[in-house]
Amino acid sequence: MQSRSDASATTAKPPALRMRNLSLSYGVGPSRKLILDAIDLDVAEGEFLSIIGPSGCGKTTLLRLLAGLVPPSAGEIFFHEQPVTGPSRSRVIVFQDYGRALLPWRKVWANVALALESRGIARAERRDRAYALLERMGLTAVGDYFPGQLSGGMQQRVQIARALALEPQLLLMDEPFGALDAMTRQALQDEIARLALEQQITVVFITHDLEEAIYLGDRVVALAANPGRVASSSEVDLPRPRNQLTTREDPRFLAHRHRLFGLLMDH
Amino acid sequence: MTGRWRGAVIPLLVFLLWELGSHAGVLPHDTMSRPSDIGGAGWQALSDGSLLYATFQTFENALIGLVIGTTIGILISLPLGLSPIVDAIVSPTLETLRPIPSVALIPLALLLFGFGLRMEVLVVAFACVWPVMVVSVSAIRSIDPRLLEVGRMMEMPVALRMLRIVLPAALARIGVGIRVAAGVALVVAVTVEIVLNPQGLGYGMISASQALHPELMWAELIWVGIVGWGFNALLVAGERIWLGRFMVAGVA
Repeated sequence: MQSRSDASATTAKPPALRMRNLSLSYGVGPSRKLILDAIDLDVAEGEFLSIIGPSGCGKTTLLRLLAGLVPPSAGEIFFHEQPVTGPSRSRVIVFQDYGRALLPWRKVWANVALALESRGIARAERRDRAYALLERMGLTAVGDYFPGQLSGGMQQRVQIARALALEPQLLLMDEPFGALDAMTRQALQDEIARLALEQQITVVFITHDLEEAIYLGDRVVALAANPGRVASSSEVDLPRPRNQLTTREDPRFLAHRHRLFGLLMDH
Repeated sequence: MTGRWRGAVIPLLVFLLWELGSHAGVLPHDTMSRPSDIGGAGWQALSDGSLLYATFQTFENALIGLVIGTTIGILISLPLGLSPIVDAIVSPTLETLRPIPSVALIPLALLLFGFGLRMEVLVVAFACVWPVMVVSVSAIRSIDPRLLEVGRMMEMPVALRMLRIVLPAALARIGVGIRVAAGVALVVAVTVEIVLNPQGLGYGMISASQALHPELMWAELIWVGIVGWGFNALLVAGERIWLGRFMVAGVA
């Protein structure tokens, strides 16, 4: 499997996602605070884009703009050439706080089935299709549990399964593994990389973990803070599928890490 | 079961002192009938079916009014709790209606429906709307915004979003509002019957009083208390059974 990173630079196809002069500010007058300042970014179809940046740089806000949950103060977002004006099933966000994003009164399978219901899938089919998605995330055994009975890693898997149930074209992930322990995080990293590759989903992945950004991304965009803006964008020329040991020991991986680390320290 | 009997200590003690006080001439037994006489009158009313029939009437009126009032209260609370704009437009009107004593609606209800079930139900329903509405609005406002975003992200139609996300998330607390409204329903139903409507327990009490049968009036008074207690216990049990899994919901 080759790197998909070449898609972003030299493609003839229009990008899946285009941000033009994207800005967001809160408040008015002298108390006005600029959160994101004139972001210009393209994301190619099928690209896995990692976004890193210090806390308070507006990473999460950017993702919420892309999801259509928040309207920008200025600038535009185009998804497959259509302006983004609100939330859509085709642009699905996976929240960091899985505990708040799952419906605690619904069993695991019913959480996934809710996504199917919203797509208008007949009641009779929902259970089987929900379980098929759970199987893909290794959750078959806990389908009849309530989310609160599962570990954090399992809950995040449920949220990913629910996101996949919406059959999105764009997966927006907001530090999805930030609250998980190292082992669980690595397992989920490999799973999401595999899913993105298999399904050819475009992914925008927010993280504060430099190595995670490089390990997963076809490209890493670093944001600077106050106000949030693009500091750098670099292709990750590492072959796929990647491996938790060998990829992380690859000299190219380390070179990326050194350069981005220095870059983040400067800001 | 252990320990449940403790709740009976105070009533039994009161009845005992009451009975003794009455025999000692401390209490006027022509108005404060003796517990033994009250028990006798109550037993008679129970065994000839009149008390149970009156209970059924009051209960029917209170329950229908409660269901209607609760439904309206919840339906109002949805837009009110979710939209600050709707809240700003509608709330002043509602806050003007809310302080109107439900009993003040009796003349209007009488004009509309005459004596009987519908008139009483209208007054009860009016009284029940408010506690349910106030509690539901606050429950809906405190739903975790993340859950509402999940609904938006899924592009759920509004009705589905209400049914699958908003109501379940607020249900545990709405249940508390319904329990408060149930108490109100019984109070208002009995009041309407005492004041005007010739049926149910309230009418029984005012009739007994006017016929100078204080022991029967007392029996019905105590009976109302027992019915109310039982109604609440029923609702608590129902809440536990039906709303148990919503207790963990995304509402603080």
